[in-house]
Amino acid sequence: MQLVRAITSRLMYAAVSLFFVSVVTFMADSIRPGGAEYALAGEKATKETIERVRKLLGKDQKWYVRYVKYIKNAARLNFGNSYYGIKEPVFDIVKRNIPMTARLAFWAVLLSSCIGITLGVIAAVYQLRTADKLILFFSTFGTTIPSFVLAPILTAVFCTNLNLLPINWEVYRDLPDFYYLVLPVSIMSLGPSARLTRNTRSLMIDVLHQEFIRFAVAKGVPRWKVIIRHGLRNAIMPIITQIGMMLGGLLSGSFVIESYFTLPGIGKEAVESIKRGDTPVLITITLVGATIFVVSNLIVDILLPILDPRIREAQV
Amino acid sequence: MKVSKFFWIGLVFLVGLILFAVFGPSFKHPYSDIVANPHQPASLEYWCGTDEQGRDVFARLAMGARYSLLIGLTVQIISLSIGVFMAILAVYAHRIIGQVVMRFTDAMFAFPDLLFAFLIIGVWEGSNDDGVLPVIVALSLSAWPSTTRLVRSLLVSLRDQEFIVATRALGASTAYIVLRHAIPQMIPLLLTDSIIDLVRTIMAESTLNFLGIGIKAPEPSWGNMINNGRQDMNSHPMQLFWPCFILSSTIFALSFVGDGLRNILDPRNRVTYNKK
Repeated sequence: MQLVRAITSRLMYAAVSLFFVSVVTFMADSIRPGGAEYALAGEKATKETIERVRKLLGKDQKWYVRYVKYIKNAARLNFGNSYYGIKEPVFDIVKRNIPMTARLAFWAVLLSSCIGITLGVIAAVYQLRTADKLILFFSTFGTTIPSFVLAPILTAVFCTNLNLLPINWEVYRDLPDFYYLVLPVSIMSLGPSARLTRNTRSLMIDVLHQEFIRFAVAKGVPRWKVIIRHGLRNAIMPIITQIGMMLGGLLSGSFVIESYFTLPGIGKEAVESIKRGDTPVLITITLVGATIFVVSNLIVDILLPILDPRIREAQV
Repeated sequence: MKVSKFFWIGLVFLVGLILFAVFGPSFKHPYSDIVANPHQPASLEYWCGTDEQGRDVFARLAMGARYSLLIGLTVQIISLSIGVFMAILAVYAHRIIGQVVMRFTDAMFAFPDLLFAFLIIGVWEGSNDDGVLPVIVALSLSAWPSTTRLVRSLLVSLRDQEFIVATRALGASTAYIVLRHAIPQMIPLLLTDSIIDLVRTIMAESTLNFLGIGIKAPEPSWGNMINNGRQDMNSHPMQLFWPCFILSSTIFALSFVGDGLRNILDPRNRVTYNKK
């Protein structure tokens, strides 16, 4: 019963967040000075033309009518058309670009979880010794170096000097996926894995100092078995939460990485749409990104109490 | 209480950076003028060489520092003010207002990381100016919710402490308690928190500039200097090195100072007299 109530409150929270996101993106479209009618009719358009375009877009209606329409259309995955080029439906643009971002995000989450958890556990076990200091140095480095500083350095080393990897995805399309994904994914995972390392380390240190760990060691359980079975299992829940939160950072990370490596994903598309003033595309990408973020956090929030009885009882 | 040497290194660097930002842009050559042939190597005349158009890199780096520091500080002041104000509303205003403020703050977290800033910049149309104002607005509006959360939790923990309750019993008004007792208590924590936030702001600002959607082109910024530098990094690696170096050092220095300040100001590191 308590579990049901906890899940309901999480669902309510997610619903409020999504409502807020929809309001903000809706407002972003209407606030924009000049707005759609100028972009579509051109700068030299007469008053009458602009009035006609406004009517065509339904902008002469009251704001709440427009909001309801916006939501209805969004539910049918109709986000309007791009202002530029062949005026492609925005949904098609997003659909075309999302697989690349999803792939980058998937591998980056996987890689940074593996690195973060492994290094964090090692650092906690060898607390204040050389391994720990090296790992802490890595994590400081990882959280402070911006990806767009690291990316040119690594491309210079691996692509230009060692000639191991392709520089431009569009040019070297015939190579297997691994070659053009390895560098972007590694750079994207550096920051998240460094933060995860830090948190895992402090969580593991807390757990490893507890009585039952010492008891397990005294009982004669092998050392690494104690660390993984007794230690990590007790520290894993906040780590999972953080992995769920990681997606958000990776989404904005993809803006830089996709633009740099010219990978056709929604991050690159968003930056280009900002540059050419293509509001519908940007708004839709924001909407999609925020929705993915809210839903993934919701899933983690619901999974946690199901997986961990302690949280289940502590909550509500 | 031990202050690490990293703190002093960071502090000295930051003081140097501020001097650099104040005097550098017109120290030897004006930052916006073409003063020599493009891609000159570093020399006594041009300390960091010249860029692809023949402008003095040293002066442009200094101007970039000025922009970064100004934007960083302005964003920090604005987001801190909004954040503290919202937190005070959430804790001390009418219950319904407080609830609304907190739900609003929570909802702001639905936008991951920089997404909200990207949205604001994309919607902003005044493309004739140098692009500084959109960056400041976008970053301030996306930075305040985390401050509100922090300040709110601090205010709630302070609200029931004895000295606040005692002041209230003496008949002090809410405004007096907040301004004279609660906020002074929080200043050390807010200070360290805003230095760490400053790191985030400077990184975000450089990200926007790197992507070419922040400060507009003829004006220099570290981000767009990195973007220009990477395009001919094989023939002129130093063009890329300088902005990367100064940006990374600034971030490192700020984190060192932030960590050091936290160690100095953290009450857990102070001698406590009332320990039982």
